Amino acid sequence: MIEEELLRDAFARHEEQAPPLDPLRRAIDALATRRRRRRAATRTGAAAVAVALALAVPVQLWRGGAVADYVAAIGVESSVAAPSGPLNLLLLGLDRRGSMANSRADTIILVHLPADGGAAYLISIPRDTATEIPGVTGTFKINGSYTQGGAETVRQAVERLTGVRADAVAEVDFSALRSVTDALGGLPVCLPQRVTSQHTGDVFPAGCRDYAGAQVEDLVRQRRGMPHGGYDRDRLGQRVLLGLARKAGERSLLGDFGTVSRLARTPGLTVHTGDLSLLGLAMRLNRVDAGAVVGVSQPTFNKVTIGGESFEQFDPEVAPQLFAALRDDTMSGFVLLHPAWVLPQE
Amino acid sequence: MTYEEFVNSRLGALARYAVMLTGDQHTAQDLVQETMVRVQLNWRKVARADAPERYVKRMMINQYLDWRRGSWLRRVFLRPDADEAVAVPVDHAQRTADRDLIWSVLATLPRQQRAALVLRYYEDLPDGEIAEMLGCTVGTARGYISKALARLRESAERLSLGGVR
Repeated sequence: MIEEELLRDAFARHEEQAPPLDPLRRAIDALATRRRRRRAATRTGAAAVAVALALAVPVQLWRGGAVADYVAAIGVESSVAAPSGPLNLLLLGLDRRGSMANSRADTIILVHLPADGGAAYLISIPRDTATEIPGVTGTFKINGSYTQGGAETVRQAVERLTGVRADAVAEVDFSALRSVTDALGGLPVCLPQRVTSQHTGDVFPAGCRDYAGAQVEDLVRQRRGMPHGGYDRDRLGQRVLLGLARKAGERSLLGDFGTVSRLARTPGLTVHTGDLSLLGLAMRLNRVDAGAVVGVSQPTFNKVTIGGESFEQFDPEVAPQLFAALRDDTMSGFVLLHPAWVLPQE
Repeated sequence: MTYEEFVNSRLGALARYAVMLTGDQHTAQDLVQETMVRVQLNWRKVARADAPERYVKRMMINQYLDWRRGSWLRRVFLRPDADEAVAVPVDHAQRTADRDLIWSVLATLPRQQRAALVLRYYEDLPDGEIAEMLGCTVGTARGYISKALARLRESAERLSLGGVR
């Protein structure tokens, strides 16, 4: 048919009308950059909360009218309900070496937010705590339960141990902690005594100093060489989180979009929120007072040998009170009664 | 394949394809630009497609068909309506005039019909793939093509007083 021939001809002849490629390409890139920026801004809310959760730096980030302004700025529905009742967030500090099979949750902290707000409790679970894994024969160290089934398995192990079900779980690579620290321009960390790194030979003097990301990462890895091993390391982790809370407050992080969006892109942060909305969590975190972040950990070793292997277990007398306080939302009473379990603050 | 590699090798072809669909350079630029921004932002998904270029062309077709529903770029509709742009045959050699005439009449077709013609006579796709690109059945795709050809023939006859023959 002649129409078909004419059509092919007309198409071929109009190829020269194609828009010039260089300006086209520049226009595409410019537009994509703008949209990417906008997209980053809308994700910032969730990501900032992820960072806050993950690093247990609730606090001033969400204080005052900041959340409302923030919500308005990023154009998110503001009708999100903040969850009521106490909240429990599980923070896993991962020593990640390639795959999950090679990763261990070496720092396990249950972040407890009482229903009345105004405080946050960081409860460290010793990494060598003995635990069972349903369907798997034997006794495991709780840090190794991550290897068995990831974050959910650790959550379940913590639930069997404490009777507390974590509402959300955050996984943080130690390397992410380093990036976040640097993005914030360093963290103030207070040490009760001198720490000498077994990895780098660096010396961290007693007292409060500002540390860069690499130093903070080094610090939270210290176990061997510490007088009380993993126990001391858990408290170092809590001290770093306190520094993070302080820094986030000082920087009024919320107003600092540049930093927040850099934090938002930190690789190595994962948050599992289950049924909770991140924004709801954020509104909830808003109520936490910066000064009232309380580190809680077991002050003594309770070694137990199972099948020839050495494990840690919780103090059979005090720990049940701790777990009951978590479940009953009476932590303020527990820390009052058991000061030895509370991280001393300067 | 990276996004850069894809753009380096395929942007020219995509720009030409956009001209065939839209009929003019400026609208083609809008179409390519809008599509390629989404391609860039979602490159991992695009790259996972069996045939990324085909996938992108389908994105372009969808975008082009969406204009009809006014779902993006209102300014497209502020341009002179395609129907008004139908040119009076110009005083070139008869053969050239016929081609321009065809181009002008193409602008009067419903978008699906035009897209079907582009896929058949510019892209040289078989009916099955045309249907896939348009998201319709093979029968519907064939219907678009035959209706478009009939309308083309009829309009051309009317405008050129039987010159196309």
